[in-house]
Amino acid sequence: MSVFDSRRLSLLIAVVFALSLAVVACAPEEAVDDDPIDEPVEEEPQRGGRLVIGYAEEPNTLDAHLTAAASAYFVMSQISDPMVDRDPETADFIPALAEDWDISDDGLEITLYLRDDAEFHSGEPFTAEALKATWDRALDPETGTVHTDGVLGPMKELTAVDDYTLLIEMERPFGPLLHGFTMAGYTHAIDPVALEEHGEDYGRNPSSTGPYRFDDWVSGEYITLVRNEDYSWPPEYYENKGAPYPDEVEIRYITEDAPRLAALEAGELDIARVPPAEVDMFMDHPDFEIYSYMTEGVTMSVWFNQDREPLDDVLVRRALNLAIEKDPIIAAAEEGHAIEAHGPLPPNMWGYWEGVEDISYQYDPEEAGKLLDEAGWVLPEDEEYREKDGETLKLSLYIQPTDAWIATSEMLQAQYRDIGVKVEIESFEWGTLMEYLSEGRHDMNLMGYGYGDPDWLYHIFHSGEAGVGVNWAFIQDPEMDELVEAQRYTVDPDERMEYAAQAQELAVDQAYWAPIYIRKNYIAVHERVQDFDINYRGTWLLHDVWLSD
Amino acid sequence: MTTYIAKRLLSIIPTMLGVAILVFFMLHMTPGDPARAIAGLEADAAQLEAIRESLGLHNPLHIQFRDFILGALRGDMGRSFRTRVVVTEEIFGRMPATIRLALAGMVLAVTFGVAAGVLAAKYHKHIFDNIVMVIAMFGVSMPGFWFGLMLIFFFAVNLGWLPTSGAGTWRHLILPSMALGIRAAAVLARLARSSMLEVMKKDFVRTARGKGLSESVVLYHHVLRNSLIPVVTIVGLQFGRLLAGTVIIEQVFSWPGLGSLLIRSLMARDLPMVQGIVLYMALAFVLVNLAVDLFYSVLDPRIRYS
Repeated sequence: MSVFDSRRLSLLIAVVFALSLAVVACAPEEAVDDDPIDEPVEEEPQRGGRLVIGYAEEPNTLDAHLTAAASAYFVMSQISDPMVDRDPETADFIPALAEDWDISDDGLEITLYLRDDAEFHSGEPFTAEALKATWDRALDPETGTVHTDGVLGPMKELTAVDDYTLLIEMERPFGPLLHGFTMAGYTHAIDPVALEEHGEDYGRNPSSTGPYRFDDWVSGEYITLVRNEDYSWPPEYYENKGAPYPDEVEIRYITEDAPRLAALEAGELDIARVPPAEVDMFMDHPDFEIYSYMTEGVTMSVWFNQDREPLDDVLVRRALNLAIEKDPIIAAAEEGHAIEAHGPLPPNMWGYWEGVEDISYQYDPEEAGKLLDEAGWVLPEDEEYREKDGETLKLSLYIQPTDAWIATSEMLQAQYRDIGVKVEIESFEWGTLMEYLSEGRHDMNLMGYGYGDPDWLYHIFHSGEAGVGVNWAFIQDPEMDELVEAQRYTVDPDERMEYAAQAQELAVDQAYWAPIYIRKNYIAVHERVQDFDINYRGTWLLHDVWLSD
Repeated sequence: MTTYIAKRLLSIIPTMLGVAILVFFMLHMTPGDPARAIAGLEADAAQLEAIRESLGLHNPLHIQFRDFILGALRGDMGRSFRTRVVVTEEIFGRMPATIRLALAGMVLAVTFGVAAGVLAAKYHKHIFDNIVMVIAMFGVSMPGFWFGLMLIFFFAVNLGWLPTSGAGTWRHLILPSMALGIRAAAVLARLARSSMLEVMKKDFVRTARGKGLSESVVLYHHVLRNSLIPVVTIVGLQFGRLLAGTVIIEQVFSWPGLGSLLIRSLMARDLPMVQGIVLYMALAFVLVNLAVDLFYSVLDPRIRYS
C-alpha cells in the first residue's frame, strides 16, 4: 500500500459509512400537505379511477368451493353478493340477495325468497335454480370442496320451488347457517355460464353477481376487477345504490411487510393493512387515515395437551393460567396493540359470554404455586424447578417462528420459571407444526384464530376433532361435547347463545387453555380514498368508496 | 465436439432422474399435510379426508412416485394442489420473469464486476483499486434481502425514482436486478482483478510490451482474454447462485417469478408445484454449466472437446 496506506483506508471506510448514514438520515421527508384548508367538505362522489389495494397473501384460486384462503375470500366478496347480510352497527341479519327467509320451528326447513332483479356478470338472471346448482356443486363429494360445505352444514336437499324461491331441507338443524349465508366469499352463487365455459379453470375466471367483475390475474403480481355497470342491488346500508364509483380495483400482492409498507408510503397503494409494530409511522402521516378493529378471535393463547401428564390434571392447568401476566406479553409481542383475552371467544363475536370476565384467571403466582403443591409438584430446597416422584416439571411449548409467537413464548418461559415450571420452546414451520400438533407430540402450543361464529367452540373443544381437526388440546369431555353440539345444531339464536355461554364457562372452569390476548389490527387508507369504512368485525365497506383527484 | 455435446446432453438424463428422486422423497418425508394447508384450521376430519382423496394422496408412495416420473417424462407435472392450475403452465408462465431477472442480474454483475476488476488491476495500488475492493467487500458480505430493502427505501420511497415492487416495465427491473447482481458483481470484480494481476506477470505480456505494443492493446487484447477463463467458470457458478438468489429477491420485490412461487408452494406443501419448479431450475442449472464449458473453447482455442 504505497499510495494508499492503512490510515487512509480507514478514513475512506469512515467517510463511506458517514455518507451512507447521512444519506439515510437526510432522506427527504414525505411531501407534507401544504394546502392550509383541510376542512371536511361534503363532496359529490366522482366516478373513475383505479383503487389499488395492497395485500400480503395471493389467493390460491377464486373458485369459492376450492379455497379457504382469506385472500381469496376478499376478492370473491368483491365480485359476488351474500344471500343475507349483517347490519354494520348491530350485527343483526338483514336482507341481501335473499329479500326474506323462513326457518321452520324444527330448524329442518329453510326457505330463501330471492330478489328478482339481480343478474350474473354473463347477463344470465340470478335464480333459485342457479343458487341450487352452486350449492349442489359445493356439497358434491366429487368437487373436493375445501370449506364451503362446512359453512353450508348438513344440507339434505335443495329445491327451486319457483324462479326466486329456494327450499333447503336439512338433515339436522344447523345453528351457524344464517351466518354462513352472510359469507359471500364462500356461499355466493356461481355464474353458470362462466362455470360451463371455463370448467376446471373456473378458479382463474370467476364470475358471480357482485359490484365488480373479474378482469385479470397476473400470477404473483395482481388481480384486477372492473366495475359492473349493471349493478343495482347493493346492501341497504350503503348510500350508493348503483354501480361502484371506481372504474377498477387492483389488488396487488406484496408478501413481505417492509416492501408493502414502502409501496404504501411511496403512494403506490391506496389501502393496505399495517402491522401494529409499524402503525405509529402512519398514525401521524398527513397522507393516511388509520382504521382499527379487533380480531374476531383470540389472537394468542396457550393450549394444554390433556392427553399427556401432568396437563391432564386440572390443578396444573389452573396454575398455568394463574401464572400468566398478560400485559408484559402484550407489550413484548404486539407493542401494546392488543387487549387481554378472558375466554375462548372475543368480545366482538356474536355469542361471546361476558361472564368470562368475572371468572377468568387473574395473575397470581402465589396461588399458582399452591395449586401445584396441591397437585404434588413441589419445589425442593435450592432447586429452580418443581419435582414429583423424582421427575422435574418440564413442558414443551410448540410454536411457529413469527415475531409475536417468539416474544410470547419467551415471556411465558420466564413467567412459568417463576412458579418452578421449566418450559422448552420448540419452533417449527407452520405446516410441520400443524402435523406435530395433530399427532399430539406437544405438551403445550401457542395458537391464534379468527372466526365469525361461536361454532369455533365445536372445532377446538369437541372430542371428535382431537387428532384429526384442531382440538390440539385433546379435550375429551362428554359435557363439553354435548354443549358444543347443542350450539351447533340449534337454530334458535337465544338458545344457541345459552349453550355457547355454558361451553365458555366450562372451558374457563376446567382451564382447557389459557387465553392471552386479542390483537388490534390497522388499515392505512390514503387521503385520496373517500368514504371508506369498516364494520364492527373489520370487514371493509367499499361500495361507497370513490377517489378524489 | 458434436460427440462431446451429445454425451453431455445424455448425461443430463441420470442427473435429472437423481434430482427427481431426491425432490420427490425429500418432499414426501417432510412433515406437513397438504390437505390441512389448503383447508385451513376450520376444516374437520371428514373434509380433510375428502381433500386428500381428491389430491390422490391416498395412493401408496410407490404408485405416487411412478405417476410422478411417468408424468414428468411426458412433460406433465399434474395440477397444483393449492391453485389447481396445470403445473407446467404456471411454471412456463412465470419462468420468463425469473429468466429476465437472473439475466439482468448477471449482465449487471458481469458488466460492473469485470469492468471494476479490470480497472482495479490496471490501477493496481492506486486509490481506485482500494475503493473497488472495499465496495466489493461490502458487496460480498451484504445479505441480498437487506440490500434490496435499502434500495427500495432509498430509490423508491425517498427519491421516488423507481417503483417499489412488482414487474411489467424496465423500471421495475432495475432495483431487483441490482439487489440480485451485487454479490456476483463483487465476486467477479475480485476475481477479475486477481486473475488480471496474475496474467500481467506472465512472460508473454512482457514480450508483448517488448514488441512495443501500446499498453491498451497489451491489457485488453492479451491480458484480458487470458484472464477470462477463471472468470467464465465463476460466471457459470454464480449463475447457479443467482438462480437460487432469485428465491429471496423475488420475495422482497414481489417479482412474479418462480422463486416467489417456490416459497409459497413449499409453505403450502404443494408437492406437484415444488417438484416441477425444482426440476426445471435444476435443468436450467445443468444447461448453463454445459454452456459455460463450451464457451471455454471459444475463449481458449487450445481447449478442445472430444
